[in-house]
Amino acid sequence: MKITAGGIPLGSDFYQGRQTYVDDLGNFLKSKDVLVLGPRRTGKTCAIKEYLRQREEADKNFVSIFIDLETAQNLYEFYIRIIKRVLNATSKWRFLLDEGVDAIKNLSHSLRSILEVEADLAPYLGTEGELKVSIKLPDFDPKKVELLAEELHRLLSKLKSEVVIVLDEFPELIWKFGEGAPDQEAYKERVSKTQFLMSGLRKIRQETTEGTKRHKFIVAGSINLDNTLQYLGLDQTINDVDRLKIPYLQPSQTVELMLLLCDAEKFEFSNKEHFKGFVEQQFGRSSPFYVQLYAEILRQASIDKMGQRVFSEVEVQKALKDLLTHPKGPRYLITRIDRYYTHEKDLVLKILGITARTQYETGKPIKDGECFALLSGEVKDLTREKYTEITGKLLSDDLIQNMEDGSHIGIDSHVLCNFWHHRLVDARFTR
Amino acid sequence: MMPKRLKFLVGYLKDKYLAPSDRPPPSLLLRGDMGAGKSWVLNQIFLDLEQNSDTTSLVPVRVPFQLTATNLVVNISKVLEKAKRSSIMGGKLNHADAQKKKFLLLIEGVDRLYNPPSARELSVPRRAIGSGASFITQVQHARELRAFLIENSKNVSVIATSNHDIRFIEDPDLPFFNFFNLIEVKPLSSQESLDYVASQLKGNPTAESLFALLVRLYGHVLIEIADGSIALLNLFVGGLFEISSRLGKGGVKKDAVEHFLALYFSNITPYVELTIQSLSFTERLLVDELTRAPTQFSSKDIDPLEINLSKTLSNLGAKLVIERVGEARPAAYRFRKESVRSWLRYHRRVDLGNQ
Repeated sequence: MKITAGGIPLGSDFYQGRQTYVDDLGNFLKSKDVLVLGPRRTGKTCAIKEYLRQREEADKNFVSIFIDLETAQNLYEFYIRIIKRVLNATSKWRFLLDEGVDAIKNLSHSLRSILEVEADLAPYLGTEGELKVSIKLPDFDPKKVELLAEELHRLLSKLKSEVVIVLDEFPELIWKFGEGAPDQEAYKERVSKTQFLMSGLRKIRQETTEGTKRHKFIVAGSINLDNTLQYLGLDQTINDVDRLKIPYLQPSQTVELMLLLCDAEKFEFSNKEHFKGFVEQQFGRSSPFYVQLYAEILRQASIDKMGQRVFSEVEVQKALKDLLTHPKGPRYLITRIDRYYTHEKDLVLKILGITARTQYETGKPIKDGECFALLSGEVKDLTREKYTEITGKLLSDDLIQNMEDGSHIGIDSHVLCNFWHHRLVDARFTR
Repeated sequence: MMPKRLKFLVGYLKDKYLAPSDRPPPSLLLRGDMGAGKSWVLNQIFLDLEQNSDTTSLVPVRVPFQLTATNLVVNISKVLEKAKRSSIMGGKLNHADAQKKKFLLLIEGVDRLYNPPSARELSVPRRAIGSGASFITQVQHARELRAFLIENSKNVSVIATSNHDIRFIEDPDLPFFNFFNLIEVKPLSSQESLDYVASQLKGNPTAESLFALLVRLYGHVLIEIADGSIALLNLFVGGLFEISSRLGKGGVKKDAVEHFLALYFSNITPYVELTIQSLSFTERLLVDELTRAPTQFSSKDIDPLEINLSKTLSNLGAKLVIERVGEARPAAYRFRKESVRSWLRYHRRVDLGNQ
């Protein structure tokens, strides 16, 4: 097992405690498309990629297409990228037997006319490696998008084998719609384009899965995806899919993964029992990423000390503090709040501070009413409406969670609770 | 002779990171200051993989820097195809085996994707990236590279180097946020620097005597002006050789020390300018003032100069000129690079030994 605090641990590096989600994904896909949800950094992409890897290992004819939508800028690009990847993947496996090269030529011709491009797109579509051709895309036109969706549908209908298409970071594309426009216009544009996207996708999904073809879609995004669609009033557009929720690791799994990573590096601890207790207490319910990052920090310390691999209790604690200030650690949430909560930043940080302090000191989440009361003592003229609006935003952004039947709010991840406590409550730590 | 710590790192990477596997290793970023030895480590990895091409399935592919400036992904694809073809044409592999190979891209200074160097540093014509290449365009290049690496992760991986440009991996809205596994290549410690210089001077008694005199006069301060950077230490050693070669039979005298310092600070000027040329007038004013402050200083040690002191200090922190020390309040700072502080002090005629 290798430390993988960046990139995706697969195969021998994949944590077996997560195999159950890989199996669930396979079972769900037998009958339906799947929406993979979970908090940030819980290993959604990892579970999906491991599923694809295991399928490929078992069946050499299995074809999958993984598309990271973080890089797609608009609806045209969305469809073109899927088409291109389908062509590349399937030409390799020679499933386009009916038409072969002609399919690419015909598609190229259609796309040229849809996108009003003069250049020959055949090399762009058909050749691996040639990944970039300068195309000036026309302005958004629903008809053109519809035509592109039809081309994709036609292409998928011709394939003779099952293809699993993964659309990762789905909410990223949605949030690009309307970017830069004033709030209300942005919302409108986001709703209309997402509606368009979802209905096009729905049509393709239903027509390719109900007929003789068995192509499947996996759509992944943080918990934010459900919330985003709800916010846009479009949550019903994906009510026909199975939902696979990938939560944080349980404390026992956190300890197990940590020990596996440390054993692989031959790390030793002056007091191993203390170390296990420390991990269980400080990481608890954790994202696998923070376990990996902690192991990476220990590795760095070991490299700095020319391979010395025994860690004292003090070093173990110092490494946790390093994690909380690490460039790859939870510090990014501060940047996120700076950018996305510009006008409400102080209020947001106060809510997070109060929530983290209560949870850190009592081990329990805070009652929603109690949080409001404490906050009212600090913030003049705070109304219940304003408080509800902000906590609603924080909930949909997954920065806090509803707990104990919704009567309490808290921070589900121990590492994040530690982070906010140190950052906002423990003055010794403030920068 | 390279420090043991760097050799250890190379050994560690060979044993752990490049160990045979059914997949390419996870993408890795070697991050550290200029001269910390990142490129040396990268080069050792390259040579090792080349020498062991018969036994490893990993093919090292150097990506020249200019490829990171424009058409990055297209060019990387071409480089990969070429590497694949040359393995087949060179008779090293048959076509089927070539398909099984995994490729390890070696990219130096990948952070420059967001921070293109000035035209004179580019070996491609400036028009190739467009004189108005905006930050958005640069981010787009980085996005394409990330997408390429993710989509080809079955057989392509990357080891890259970068300096401490924090935006590069720390900004959640930029493509390489959390993409890389990270190993910090730290600067040489004072002892490592002294050992390095001593090893380079072996066999040149005049240079050794000059070095001994310098150490006697300035103690540890002397070696710290090289920031633990191998590049600056090489300039340091070069300076010692040059001055000692000019000395007659009379042995090393104190004026040789003056000549050496003049030569050394002149030689490191381009490096120091990399740091100070980005400063505004106000920031430069404060930096000059800080050369008179103690090594570690807080706002109460500084003449406020009718500027917004806390904002300017914060800007200098963001530009990596100074850094916070500890968590005390009022905040304590120090210069991030002793070379910059000493260079400024030298030019302001502040005694180097007077800390």
